[in-house]
Amino acid sequence: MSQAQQRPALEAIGISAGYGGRAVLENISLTLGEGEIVTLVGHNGAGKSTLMRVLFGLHRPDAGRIRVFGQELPNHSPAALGAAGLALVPEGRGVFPDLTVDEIFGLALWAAAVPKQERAERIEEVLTLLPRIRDFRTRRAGTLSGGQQQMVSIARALLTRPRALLLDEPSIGLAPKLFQDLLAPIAALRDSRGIAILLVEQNVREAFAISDRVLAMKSGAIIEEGPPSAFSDHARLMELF
Amino acid sequence: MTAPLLICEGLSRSFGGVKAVAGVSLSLTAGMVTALVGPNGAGKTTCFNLITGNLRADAGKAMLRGQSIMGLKPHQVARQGVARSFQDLRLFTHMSVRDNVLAATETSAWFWQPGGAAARRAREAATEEALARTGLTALAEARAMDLAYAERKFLSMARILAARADIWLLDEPASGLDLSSRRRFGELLKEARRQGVAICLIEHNLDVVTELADRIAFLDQGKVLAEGEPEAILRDPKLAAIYFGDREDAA
Ligand SMILES: Nc1ncnc2c1ncn2[C@@H]1O[C@H](COP(=O)(O)OP(=O)(O)OP(=O)(O)O)[C@@H](O)[C@H]1O
Ligand SMILES: [Mg+2]
Repeated sequence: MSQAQQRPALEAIGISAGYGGRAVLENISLTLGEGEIVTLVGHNGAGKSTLMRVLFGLHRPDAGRIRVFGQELPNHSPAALGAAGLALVPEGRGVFPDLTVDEIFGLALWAAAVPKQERAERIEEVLTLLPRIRDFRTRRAGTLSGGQQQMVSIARALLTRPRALLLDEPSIGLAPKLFQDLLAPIAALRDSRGIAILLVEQNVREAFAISDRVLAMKSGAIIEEGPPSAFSDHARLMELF
Repeated sequence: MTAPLLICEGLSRSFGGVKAVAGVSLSLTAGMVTALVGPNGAGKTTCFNLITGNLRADAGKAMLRGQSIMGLKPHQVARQGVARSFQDLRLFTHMSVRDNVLAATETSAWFWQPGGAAARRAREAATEEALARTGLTALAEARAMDLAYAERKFLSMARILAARADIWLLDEPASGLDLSSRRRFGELLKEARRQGVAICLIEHNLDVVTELADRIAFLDQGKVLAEGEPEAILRDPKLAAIYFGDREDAA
């Protein structure tokens, strides 16, 4: 499908960012079309997670502009972005250990101002994608296994029915079967609901299978862009990793 | 064949109704990498917790060099030469990279070395060596929280290296690493194996397992369903179904 005529879900223009003087991102521009699935590949340290954090308002860029569904938000904070329809599954989960899974879901739904009567339906919807969560809904997240926590982190992001989803290494901690079982239905949300997805993932084979486009990052810059087929060759990937 | 360094028999632990670990027997031998593989929630991390004293076992025993380590506190097990890493890393995020490694030498087998300035110097030397081997020397002054994900994983490995333990329990140390980092991690592991460390590796990426493991123990619902050579385990269609679903190119 062609993305050019679609309104972008996310536009980043000239983003530069770093940590205490160390430049990590240099003049990055990217567009995520509405309903588009884009995979971001590159070495550890190429700047992928920093870019995700900047896009979600968790790290302040030194320069650049970000537009979400055509709008530049006055306050580029996670809360404002959430309200605008963006959700992030961060690298390394970050669920509240002292809350139960149901409490975490409740908090996410409350924060997204989902009306009370709709909440149960939202949770059901997500549990269809991640049925294993049913086994531990009443448990405190801190007592869950690593993979179970990652499931909760992904579920929490999906609960808000985001229109654009940022997924930073969602496979970390998940057994291969579970990850596969998850990717296809997430990709299907694009077809059913037009959700846009920006995906950082080391399992490129699985990621490319659902992607429209691939962006390759190196040393804080996007060095290449194209359809997954242009990157599928093993030698090309070895270069980029 | 050398006798195993660590032998676990019938380890069990339930949480409420959930049998997280249900009679696991496992042994770790010097110079061998045993991979613990299995679905999410299979009980892999809990096994580590039972060995290291982070959790009490309901039943079963763990013998280290012929002596029981059941009931010991985590720092006591560490002092006997068992080093572990955590799935969520558990670094001292506000401390420098160097101090994170130095701290690991203080809660390890090193504790029993003669005290005083000589011991301190030896620990500092081990710290620098571990930083160098994990490629973190240039970042030694950085706060752990300012490191990128892969760097934090290597910091966790540096802590293991500096502890000079002869048993390593590694919980998903390679997840999220790119190919070249994974290769570097593999070299660290192979080097330790050559030096006779007994290694247990929890890992979901089967490329990593195939490359590094001498044996696989396949865990599901708290039980070891199969144990043996990697090729045999990975070819078993029953295990593949549990772990991969029905993907063709799985095994
Ligand atoms: N403190 C606890 N309280 C209650 N249940 C627990 C506790 N710790 C672990 N469990 C449960 O025991 C089971 C085994 O957990 P464990 O962390 O050992 O799994 P794992 O094999 O390491 O999984 P993963 O691959 O997801 O990390 C899971 O169902 C988990 O939710
Ligand atoms: Mg685990």
